[in-house]
Parts: sequence; C-alpha cells; structure tokens
Amino acid sequence: MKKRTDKRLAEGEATGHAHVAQAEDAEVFGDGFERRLAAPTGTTISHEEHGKISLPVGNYRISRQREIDPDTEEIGSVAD
Amino acid sequence: MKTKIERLSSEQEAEVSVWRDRYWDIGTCTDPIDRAKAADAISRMYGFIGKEQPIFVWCESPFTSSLAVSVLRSSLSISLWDSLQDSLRDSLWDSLWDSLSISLQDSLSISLWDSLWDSLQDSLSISLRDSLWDSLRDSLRDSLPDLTVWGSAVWWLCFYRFCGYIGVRYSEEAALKLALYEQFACSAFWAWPYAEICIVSARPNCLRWTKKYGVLHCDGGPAVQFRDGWTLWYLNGVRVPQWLAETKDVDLAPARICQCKNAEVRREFVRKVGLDRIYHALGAMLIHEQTVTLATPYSEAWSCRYRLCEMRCGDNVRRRVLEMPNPSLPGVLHVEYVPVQCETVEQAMNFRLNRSEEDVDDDAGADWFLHGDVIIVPEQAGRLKRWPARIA
Repeated sequence: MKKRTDKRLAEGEATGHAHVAQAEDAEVFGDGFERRLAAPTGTTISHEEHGKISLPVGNYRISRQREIDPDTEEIGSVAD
Repeated sequence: MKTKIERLSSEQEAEVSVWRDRYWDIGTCTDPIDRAKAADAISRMYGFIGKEQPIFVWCESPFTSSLAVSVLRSSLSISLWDSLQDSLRDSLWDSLWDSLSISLQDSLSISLWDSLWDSLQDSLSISLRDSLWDSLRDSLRDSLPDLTVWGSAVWWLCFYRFCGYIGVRYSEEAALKLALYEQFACSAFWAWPYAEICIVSARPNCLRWTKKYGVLHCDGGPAVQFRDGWTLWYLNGVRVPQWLAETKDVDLAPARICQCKNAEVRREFVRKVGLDRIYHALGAMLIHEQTVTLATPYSEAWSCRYRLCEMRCGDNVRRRVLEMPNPSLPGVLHVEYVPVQCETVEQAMNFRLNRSEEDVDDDAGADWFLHGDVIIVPEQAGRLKRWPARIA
C-alpha cells in the first residue's frame, strides 16, 4: 500500500472533512475504504465534527462501516 | 542572542479578537472583484520570483476558472503555485522564529489561526474544492484541471500580520510580499498562477453561515452563490441537494429519506424533517432497542441508545434502519440502512462492522475504536470486544 502524505484515514464526500492521524511519526497507507495506520508512539485521531480519540501504540486496520442501499439492496461502505 | 517575545500585553490581548474579526471579514467578503488591485498584487508577486507580468483571465467563479484552466491547458506551462508560496513563506518564517517564543506561537495559532481555519479552510475552501471536483468530474473526465489554488489562506495572513503588529520585524521585502498577498486577498478570491497566464476567480456574491466562525448553512436558499450562477447548498456544513435546502420542512415528504444515499445528507434530512415525523409517516415499527454505556472524548460513561426499526418508504418495501445518536453532536441522530434479516441491535451492528457473532469475544477480544463511520482495529487482532473501547 502506498504511504499517504496527508495521514488521512478517511474523508467525507459531503463535507470535505477528514479523519486524520495527528502524531508526527504516524503513517497511513492505502486509498479508498481500506487503509492501514502505523502509530509507533500512539496517535490522536481528529475530525472537524468528531471529538478526538487517542489510540495506543500499534498498527491498525482501517475500514468503514457498511450499510445497505435501500433501493438496490447492494451492500457497501457508508458514504458520508 | 535576541530576546523573543514571550507574551502579549493586555492591549495586545484585547486586539486578538479584533484582528480575527477583521480577517474573517476579508475571507467572507462578497464584494465584486477589484481587477486592478488583484492584477497589481499578482504582477508584483510574479516579479519577486523573476517572472513577467502574466496575461490575466478573469472569471466569475472557481467553476468557470477551472473550465478556463481546462480549456487553456495546452497553453499553460508550469504552475507557479509552489514558487509563490515558497517565496512568501521562506522570507517570513525566519523572522517569526527569531522573534517569537514557541509557546506564544502556539497560543496565537490557537486564538487566531484555528477559528479562521475551521470556517474558511475546512468549511469553505475544502468544500468548494470538493464541489468543484464533483461538478467538473462528469464533464471533463480525463482533462480535469489542477484544483490547487492560490490566495485563499486568510487564516495564515491574519497570523503573520498580527505577529507583525506585536513586534515581529520582517525584512522590507518580506513585509511587502505579505502586503501584496493581503492586497490580493482583499480584491479577489482564488488564482491559478501559471508562467504566462494567471486565471483569477471573483468572490462569491452570497455566503451564508451558521454563525461567525461557523459552517456554511442556509435553510431555504443557497449558502454559496457566484455571479455566474454557480450555486451550492449547505445545511450545517453538509453539502446537500437543492431540494433539501430549499423545500420547507413541512413540505418535505418523509419518504424522500430513501433518496439520501449519503449518510451526512441523510443526517441533515432527519434533522430538518424530524425523526418522529418520518417514523410516523412511514409506519415505523420498533424491532429492538438496546442502551449501552460507551466512552467518548467527553464522557467515560455515555449512555447510547440504539434502536432497530422497520419502515416502508411509500413503496411497500420493508426497510430496516439502525438509529443511533451522534456522540459528538448532541441531539443529532443517524439512521443507517441494514438488512431486513437483522432482528437485534447486535446483529445490525455486526452487519455494519462486517463481522459475525463468532468474531465477538467480550472477555478476551481486542479493544477497537469507532471514529464516525471509521472502524479502527489492531492489525493482529482476531476476536474483538462487542462494543468499541472509545467512540467519537
């Protein structure tokens, strides 16, 4: 997976807001809905509308919650 | 060694909000473009990086500016964005570093930069760029222009100008560049600077916010409009379709919730129409409910009520939704569609998290986190606890 320079775990379509890893040494990899986060000293995750949460040291899998399309019944990641 | 400025005087403290308001007014100004002033500022900035005065292409909005960039693509050489930014930043940074203590830089960043950043960068600039992307994507496809724009960083301008006011001494050249940057910000909106051509967008003629330093919002009309007709609708910072912003709440048919495919747009639909009215109109039945205690950034014991409901959106098709409160926005509710086979809140959550009941272990499972719709799970984790260790 390609390393991201913006440290974004995910971004919203309707607001432009993003979930971002704040620690200097945190690294985020990948595009789309599946990403990876390396936080060798832990990190805070920020977002314009959500409170910050702190993650302990570790490597993480990042994914999005799912929902079902009310018309087609297709299952997909939540678009926000 | 030079003495650094460590703290503000009481008079300077009192001026912080005055300066912030002044730059809020600049960043949200809806006056027509002043072409002469904008051209003068840009031409002189070009001079600092050794470039001739460009030919100006004046546009009424970022949308038509982007079209112009696309149409002129073959005539445009390299973007000067980086050169202009570097020229400005490099000459300012050393003065700031030499003159201002780190702690005062940090505190001024919070009081001057952050509030302007939240509104003018996050709510306005990024939203407009995303809207531009959406608007242009279908028509231009492979020839999308570079959406990096110059001249919209008013929060940054405010910070450096205030530092000058409290005693940071910039070189003559740096002070002039800063003044030119401000001259541009006071006369136009965005620019796409290329070596021979500079495309400049005028400001919007309408910008509506929840409040000063808030987010874009207008219930009943457009929140952003440019003179060439490019119009955008927002409710509480969420870009919504025209019908949702402009239709009166009482005239919105609750069944239109099914048209809101985006979770944030649906959130605003629910906020405007009211969940009780939606449930009543769509004959909703409560299937299951569960209240769990979760840790949020604001409370170690937040009581979160999930409700699984079934409703019919006027077409007699059964649909199930999981309703939950937003842990970060008090009073805001979300409804997310789940399969009709879900009979309990726990089953609905398992579907949303893409896991089965066998993946849940409340005793030995790993802690995980939920930030909005983003699931954060330790990479080596096998089974997980049922509920997140922290939610926001």
